Amino acid sequence: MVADKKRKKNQGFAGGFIAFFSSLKLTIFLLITLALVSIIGTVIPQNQLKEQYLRYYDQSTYATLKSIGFLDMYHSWWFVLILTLLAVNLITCSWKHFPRAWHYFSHPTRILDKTLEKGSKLVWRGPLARIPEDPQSVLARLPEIWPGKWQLEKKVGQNGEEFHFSAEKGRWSRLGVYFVHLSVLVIFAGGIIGSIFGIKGFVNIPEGERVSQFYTYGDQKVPVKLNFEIECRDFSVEFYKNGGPKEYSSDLVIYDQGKPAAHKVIEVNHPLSYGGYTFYQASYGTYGGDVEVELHLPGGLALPLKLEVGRPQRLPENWGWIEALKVDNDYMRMGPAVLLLRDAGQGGRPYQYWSFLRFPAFARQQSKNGEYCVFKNLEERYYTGLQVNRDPGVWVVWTGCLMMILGLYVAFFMSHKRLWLRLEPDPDRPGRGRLVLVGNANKNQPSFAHEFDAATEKLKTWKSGL
Amino acid sequence: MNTYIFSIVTFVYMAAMVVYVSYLAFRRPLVARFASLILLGGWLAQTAAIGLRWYESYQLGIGHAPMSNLYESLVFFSWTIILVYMIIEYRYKLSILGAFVTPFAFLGMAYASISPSVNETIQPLVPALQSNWLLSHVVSCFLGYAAFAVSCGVSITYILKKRYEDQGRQGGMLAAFPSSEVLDDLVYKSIAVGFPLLTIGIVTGAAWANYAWGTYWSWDPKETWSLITWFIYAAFLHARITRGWHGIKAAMLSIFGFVAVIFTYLGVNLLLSGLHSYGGG
Ligand code: HEM
Repeated sequence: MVADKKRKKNQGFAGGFIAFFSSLKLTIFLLITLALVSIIGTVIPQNQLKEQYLRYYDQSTYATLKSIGFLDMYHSWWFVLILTLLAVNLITCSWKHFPRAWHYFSHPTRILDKTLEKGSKLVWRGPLARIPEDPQSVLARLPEIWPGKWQLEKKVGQNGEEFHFSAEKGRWSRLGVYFVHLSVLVIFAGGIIGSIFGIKGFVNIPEGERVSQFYTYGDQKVPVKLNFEIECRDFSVEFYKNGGPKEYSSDLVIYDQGKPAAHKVIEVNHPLSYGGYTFYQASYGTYGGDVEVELHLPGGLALPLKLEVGRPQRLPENWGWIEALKVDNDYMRMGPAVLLLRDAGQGGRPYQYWSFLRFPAFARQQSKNGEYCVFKNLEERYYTGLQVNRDPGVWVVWTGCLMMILGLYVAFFMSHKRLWLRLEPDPDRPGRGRLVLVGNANKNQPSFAHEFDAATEKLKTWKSGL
Repeated sequence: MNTYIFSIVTFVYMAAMVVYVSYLAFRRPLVARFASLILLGGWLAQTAAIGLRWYESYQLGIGHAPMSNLYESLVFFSWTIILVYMIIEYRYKLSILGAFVTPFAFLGMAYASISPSVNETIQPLVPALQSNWLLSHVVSCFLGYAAFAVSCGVSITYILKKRYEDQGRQGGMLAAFPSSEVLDDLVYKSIAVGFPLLTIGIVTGAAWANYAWGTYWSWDPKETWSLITWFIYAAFLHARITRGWHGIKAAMLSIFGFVAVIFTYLGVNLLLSGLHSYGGG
């Protein structure tokens, strides 16, 4: 008695908890809430820099939105709370329902009793000339009416000994729903693993250079060391006629402890993976490359030179120094131009002037001392922009996704079909028997009804000869 | 050439829609037969034109499946709606639904052909879209959307019929409709087809994003809206088995689900544009 009371009291709390969290109404509420609140983040741009927000919100709105988590809402405590509640709901619900489903699965109904007969839509009854002596011979022939493994149970009923035959297909399809529910938890787990152990960042590598770290996103770009080096050997980009990029690719080489360890030409949609990291072609850009000029000296001598922006170059003999200070792609609307600093030495003062790619004659006309410099070519240098990513949870997520798709297929398109056949003495006609066939399918009943009809047709042809 | 055929198809679908609606009024089997024939004719022409457009893109040297811009996807969406509808009409012999489903296909085609903001030309693909994932992703999403369009059409029919039955009325146009149970079952069946397809669409999209950008999920508005749609249909599936939530409330959820589909598909690009764009550099 006491123990009983105690259990009841426990059930009061635990039972209440289970009843609340296993309720489908809570599921519907949570799913609709998730749908509604998710809208917020599609209207308010997420995870932008403060300066960007201050362009469309004033300071106090910005502060309010930030404090309630609307600027990074999918990671805010309340969004995570809703997801957690859904997970708890799912676990509690499965906890409560699964044992019953499992019992149903592991203890199939073998006896065709009156309740089953009454509650079924597909029922057929027929007379039988005599009760066969050997039910095993009937069992052997049953696959002819419906293919599958048939089982036999004997039982003494009101009118004498009855034989109950039963067969089923797709019993495990009943578990499909649980597989779907489990898959949701697996996907959650994958996401959590990724957010704890994963890391994301980017790195820009100039053509021909090697790096061994990348930077995280966000306001503070934190450098992350790699235990190998990555080199961009070459970068190339092709354009469509309308000027949009068609294809760009980077020739990457990985050096592990100084030795080449991997090599791949990556492009958008074709990343390179090494050492747990994946490198994606994300962007590209140009930076001041080499400037090719021709320096014409007063004596008529023309000197071809290749200048690196920002690095002074010493000329032969005692002709002094020259430096390309900067390159402007469209200086004074006259196209690309280079700003040169010339120091002829010999006590003269250094002076600067612009030289234009498209107007080579200009340099000569402007010259005061007979010396001029023609801008011949700008060899642009590209850098490749790589996204760097490590996410150990990604395989867990894919496993969950696969489980979900398979589970959905099973849950929606596979059915559990059952047939029962009872052979019993006919109380009204001593010595003779009768047959009852009952069918049941949990899905797609119309097509199962056809199978059932076909089975009854077969049975009709045999009933006298049994 | 292909766009010319598509404009004709638009008118054929309009004609089919009108005949289906008149079938609602007259209920002569011959009218339904006629409507189905017009629809089938339009659909075959559309199929041919999609093939032609595909071929023409190769002629232009920028060959790709015709599903890469708004125009092409609207055309493909209408095509899948009619395909799914015709299968249901054939299997369940329910011509009455035509009046509620064909308008979606017609509106899609009309919007594609008439709106000046929809560019009809065949355009080259930006690098991010050059992937085999594109095809599986787009096809599964749109087949799912088409199934949801059908479920929305049937849900509207269901609500009308259910009201009518609850009021105990007889006669009139609604008398010819299948019983509310049959309609309810059809709503469920089309969602049972659409939900796994949408799931596959979201998963292939995530797989593609992971492969191309290194993140399977980045809460971009388009992704988020597809998830919102998925939540609503998941809610529908559970609402149906809950006392107090099945019937009209569940049917309303399926209609909201389709509103979310339309928003995922069009609204995100039109209203939330600027946040979702492809391309690097
Ligand atoms: C995102 C989360 C969920 C997904 C994707 C999901 C998916 C599904 C699917 C596809 C079905 C089959 C529906 C049908 O056959 O018509 C189903 C059934 C069901 N779900 Fe969920 N579900 C989720 C969450 C939950 C939660 C939290 C509960 C807890 C109460 C729950 C309880 C049930 C029950 C009781 C059934 C009916 C099982 C049966 O027919 O035997 N589900 N769910």
